[in-house]
Amino acid sequence: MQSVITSTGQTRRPKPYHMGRWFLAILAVATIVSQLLLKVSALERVSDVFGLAVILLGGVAALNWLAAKNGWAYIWVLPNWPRPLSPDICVAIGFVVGLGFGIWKWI
Amino acid sequence: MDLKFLRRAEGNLLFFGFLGLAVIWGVALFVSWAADLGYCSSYTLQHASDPYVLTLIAIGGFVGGRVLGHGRRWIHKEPTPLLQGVRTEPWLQGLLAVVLIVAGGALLYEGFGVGHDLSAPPITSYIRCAAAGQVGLTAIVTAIVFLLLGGWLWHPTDAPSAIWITAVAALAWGALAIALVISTNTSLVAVTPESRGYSHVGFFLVSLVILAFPIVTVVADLRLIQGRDLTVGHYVNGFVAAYPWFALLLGVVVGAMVAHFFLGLVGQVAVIDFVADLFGGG
Repeated sequence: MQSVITSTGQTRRPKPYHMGRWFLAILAVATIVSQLLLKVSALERVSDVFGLAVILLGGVAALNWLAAKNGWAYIWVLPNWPRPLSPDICVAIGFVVGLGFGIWKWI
Repeated sequence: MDLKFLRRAEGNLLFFGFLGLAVIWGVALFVSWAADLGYCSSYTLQHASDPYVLTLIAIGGFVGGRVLGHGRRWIHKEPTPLLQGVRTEPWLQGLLAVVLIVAGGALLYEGFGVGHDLSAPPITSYIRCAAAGQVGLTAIVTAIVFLLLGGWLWHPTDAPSAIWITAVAALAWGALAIALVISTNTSLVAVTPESRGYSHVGFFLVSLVILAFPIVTVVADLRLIQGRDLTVGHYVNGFVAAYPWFALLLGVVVGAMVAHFFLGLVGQVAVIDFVADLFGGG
């Protein structure tokens, strides 16, 4: 499994949830199929914020499931560039991006 | 300070928090069932600043959840999940799966409901109507839910940046809150929501599900700390630490939710004008 050096200088080897992997795989298939069933026009409305998020979450989950099945490196781990990001910063960035995207492209 | 005393105080607070939540849940369910459905088809905001106040309460709750996480991590001397990997227990894992399934189902219904002209309105419409008609109750529930989300999703890791991120976020939120308080925008805003078939059952279900999350979490936390175990926030933090991309995307959804639910009440143009007035003095 891929490991990263954290901002504290320690090596991190995240372990995926065992059961969560199956759950995420099911979620991935369900969400992608359901999103494909949506009208294309829906993407012009705010459902795109949610729809896009669901597609991304489902896509990431599906890739991770494939990685788990085939022994690839997990993509959950953040890239070690330009410097390792902490999960805290990820959530903060996500929140601000979501808020901004919600205001910009909205409803 | 004696950590044992603080842990006891935390347990008592959780217990009284549970009782308080049960009361709020009851009130919310009663109000939902007795709601004036005709009001939801066309309403005027009680105060023009309500959507912004609710937005700030949501952001404040999210930041507050993180501050609370710092405190709880300190009280319980919790180790960071960055090094030890993800720990979990079957019952907690089951609970997480239920929460994710319910949240996923709600998200799908929301996406489908907004994208299609269903007779039943999407969840957003119910929340906006509640935000316009029951500002106080909506503010309380918003604070609770976002405190929980912040405590869950943004539970601090032990990275050195954790304290700084919290401090910057708290300062930014405080500055926004002060700017809002000193603003003089008080004109009323008439809102023309989509007229769909609102139902008491729909309102009831939205209230039931939204408040079920914090109640279940408080009960789980009570059980965990009585068994001298780690808190729910710590376990979820393990998930966040292991799946940072997933956490980032969940952060996007939570942020978009704030804009979608509350700022969406007045629309994009009004929000941009309001922000320009707030910071431009115009």
